Amino acid sequence: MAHIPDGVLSVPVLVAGGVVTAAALGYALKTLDEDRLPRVAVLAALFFVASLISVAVGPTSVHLLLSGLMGLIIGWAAVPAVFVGLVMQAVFFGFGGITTLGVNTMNIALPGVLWAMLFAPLLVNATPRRAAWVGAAVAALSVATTAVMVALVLTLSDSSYTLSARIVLLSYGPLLVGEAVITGFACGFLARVSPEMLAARAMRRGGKIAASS
Amino acid sequence: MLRRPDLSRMRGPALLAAALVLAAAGPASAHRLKVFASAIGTSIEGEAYFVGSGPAAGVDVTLRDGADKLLQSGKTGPDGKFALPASGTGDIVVTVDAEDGHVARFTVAGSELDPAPASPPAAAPVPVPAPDGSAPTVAAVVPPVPMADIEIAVARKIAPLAAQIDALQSALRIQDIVGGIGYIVGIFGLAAFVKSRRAARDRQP
Repeated sequence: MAHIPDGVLSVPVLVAGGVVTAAALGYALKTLDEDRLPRVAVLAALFFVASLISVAVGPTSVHLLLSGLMGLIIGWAAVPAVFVGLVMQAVFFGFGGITTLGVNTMNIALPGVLWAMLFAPLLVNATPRRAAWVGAAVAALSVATTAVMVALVLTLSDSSYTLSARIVLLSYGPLLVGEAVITGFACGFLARVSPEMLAARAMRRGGKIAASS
Repeated sequence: MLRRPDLSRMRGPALLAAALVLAAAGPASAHRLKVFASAIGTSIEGEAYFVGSGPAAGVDVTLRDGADKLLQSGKTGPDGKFALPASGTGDIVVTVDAEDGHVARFTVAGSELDPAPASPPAAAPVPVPAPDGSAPTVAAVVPPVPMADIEIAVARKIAPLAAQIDALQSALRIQDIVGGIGYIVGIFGLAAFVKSRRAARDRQP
């Protein structure tokens, strides 16, 4: 699933994924504020560990991605966080692969970043209950988008993967629910204990005054 | 209030991370398809599994030769095991594909295979049945067991060992996980250090 190993994808797909990830990484690192680095590090570590724990579902096995949560809390910095996590997993455990780092980072990180960006305005001054629902929605949409991207990438590489795309989509169903529940609880919790963590990005876009109030 | 210390703002994810690390400390499971196979006589037997989360049941298995020509194909059983006939002298690549982007390969060396499976050893002497308990003969007459049978028996015996070694090598170890987290902390620490130096230099003039 999300960790596509070496030798599955065609070269154009690998190159395209690499270019997208490199661009996203560049943008994320340029805009990354050093005060937020510790938070990015914690979420990178969280992703690294969470996506090691997997559960067998039918003929395959799935694990958490937490991309929605990362997108909500650290925005574009989710891209380097996922990238570093994937590098570590590839080096230590052989999950995924080195050549597929670009595609995998793109598939996992980008949906979270984009959906979170879209939903961020809803989190300003949100009650914990609303934050939880928004978090769950972002997580579910991110997982679904990742599933579609994985299926698309596989199909683009080899048209005989059309059938497998169905399996991918089926196995992502339980993951979608699990991820939505976990991210929902996490966002509800954050909205209660430190709401500025969730809304920081939306406020910053609103202007300096909002950010420093 | 302008900025609160970062530590308090990180409380949420830190707690989550701690909980997940604890959860992982038990039977650490993982996400990677693996296949192990060995040649036993004229067949290739092996098993496919997800590292950590058990056998890969009902996934496609194919045997291909060096030139990528399809020799045999089948599916794994409910326990992830498979056995396919194979022969020849070249290396054989065993590929399992869970059809969702999980693919694993394993190469069985041609030297392990029985070179000529189709023709049964015509001149092979029929093994004399081992003397039962009633025969008081000292093991002076060793029944001539065909070399091929011995090889198959030995291959059967050592296959689980080889599979175990292979599985151990790819097992998730808690020290590796902790090491990975350490690397992540280090990388971001380094990034913070570089960024703060740059910021300090910008501020000075």
